[in-house]
Amino acid sequence: MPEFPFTSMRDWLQYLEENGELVRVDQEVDLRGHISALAYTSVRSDGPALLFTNIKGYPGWKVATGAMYGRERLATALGVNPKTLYHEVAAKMEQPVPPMEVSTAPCKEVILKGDDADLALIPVPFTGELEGVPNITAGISNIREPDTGWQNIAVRRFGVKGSQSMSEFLNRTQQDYMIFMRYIEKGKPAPVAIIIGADPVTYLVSQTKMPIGFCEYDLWGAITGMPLEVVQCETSELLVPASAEVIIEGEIALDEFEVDGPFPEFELYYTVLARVPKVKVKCITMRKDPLYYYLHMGAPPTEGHYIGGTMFACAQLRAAQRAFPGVLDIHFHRWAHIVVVQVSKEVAKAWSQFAVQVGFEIFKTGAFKGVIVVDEDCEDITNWEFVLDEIQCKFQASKDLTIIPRVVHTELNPSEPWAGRWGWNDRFIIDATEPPPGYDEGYLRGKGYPPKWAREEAEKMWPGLLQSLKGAGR
Amino acid sequence: MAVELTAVQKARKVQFANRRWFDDHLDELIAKYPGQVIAVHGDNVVAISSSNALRPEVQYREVVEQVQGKYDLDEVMITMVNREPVWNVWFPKKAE
Repeated sequence: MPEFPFTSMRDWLQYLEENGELVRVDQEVDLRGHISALAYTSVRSDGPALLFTNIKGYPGWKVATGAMYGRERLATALGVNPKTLYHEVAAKMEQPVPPMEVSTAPCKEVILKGDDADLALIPVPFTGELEGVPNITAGISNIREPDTGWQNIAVRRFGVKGSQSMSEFLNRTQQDYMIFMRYIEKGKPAPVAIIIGADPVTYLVSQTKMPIGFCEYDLWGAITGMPLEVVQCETSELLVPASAEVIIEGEIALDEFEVDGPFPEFELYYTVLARVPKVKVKCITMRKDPLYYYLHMGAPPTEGHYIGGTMFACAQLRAAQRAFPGVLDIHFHRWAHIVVVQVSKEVAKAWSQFAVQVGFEIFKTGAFKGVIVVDEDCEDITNWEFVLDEIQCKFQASKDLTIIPRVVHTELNPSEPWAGRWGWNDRFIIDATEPPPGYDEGYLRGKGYPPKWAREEAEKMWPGLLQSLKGAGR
Repeated sequence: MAVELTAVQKARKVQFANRRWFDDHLDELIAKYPGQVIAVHGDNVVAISSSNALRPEVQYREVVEQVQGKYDLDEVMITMVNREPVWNVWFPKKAE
């Protein structure tokens, strides 16, 4: 049985199947909706990964989805304990290992160039019924800074617009857009390679916000403890994971556009139609029996939200703990764009406006709606009920709410008009830590829960009690 | 090396052509059908929802009913038209 580190998507899928976490779907499925709907249905019930083996019109292909959904599954892929996932990954980030270049690779078993490199050959599923043309949602975009050679990778969405043409939704707040600007300055098209069906750690590290100049492949090595095997593309110097399923090579045109959208994005709503950069496809390489990976997007929760939120949280925890003492834990509520940070009560009291300072640090690592800062009184920061308890008991809006107006944000958030404008968000910081001395008498009386030992015993008794309820015909 | 396409793959290429026509006529379509769901096939709009006041999923069903039986659904592009002018992502002018 494959084990950590999982160096290819098919190894990871085999592991999931052998552990009862993957279901094969052998019935014929239609790319126009079956795959999207089954992916949605599975994640809504914290269900298994899905492997589709019979794709209408695409003999020989398989499509997988849901393999990176859920904290336990992600922790296994990252080789860490689910309970300490963020802490362990944040610690691993300190020891990057650069990739190792190889000369031959499974991702080059088939090489299609020119007119043969036809995007119609790839089974890209539709996500929503109004999409018009399908979008590649699990494409990891690779771009290389023209002067320094720094390679940046990130999951981007590509609209399949023609046999050799795609739209790329480059987010103007991200590093790959900044690199593309360097090509524009030089008057050269930007070589790009899109990886589909990489191993799970490559997907996860691609979602991590790292400093400028840091290649996420080095982070792959940090997490696995070994170098990622990469191979050079056919048409550029870009390096891609050797074990990937499909690589689409091309270049981002300088002065040509494609119309993107409408697409059901991670912000819940369909996007508007927008003219965005165009990728001209020059080459497709793949395995002989290729597998397409589909990342379900749209109405949350989705697999896309999960992997993005998890890796954001790891980077945020690392950044906040470097900047301040007393940052204990973090949780990224994956689709509300709200981060809960748990800090030490004593440290919070010793600093001036500690929660606000921590909130600003968190905002540096990504685009979010708000930060809620709680202390160790909060029993479980992943559970909204406990977080709301802290807000109810410790927060006064007139003095504990900080609003930061008009901060740059993705254009996709529908809470502000977006056509032709930069996206922005107001941000908030809620300080729900215990107030300093003078206001703390109420908290010294303790919380009104049953005794902890009794609650633990009750948890053990509970399944049996429920069983007796079923026995009574209820 | 010519690759033999399946019927579904050929239909996808028809969809590429539909989409190209849609993109080329976008300003005109926005003026005529803002916020409506339309179907495009063979350089023509072949179905239109009755009103942009309806929820998008209702408009979608109306359009599907109009094209079902008349066209191969794999070869018809159904999408929603913007209510507002197309947003142009800003690019600085390239170096001379």
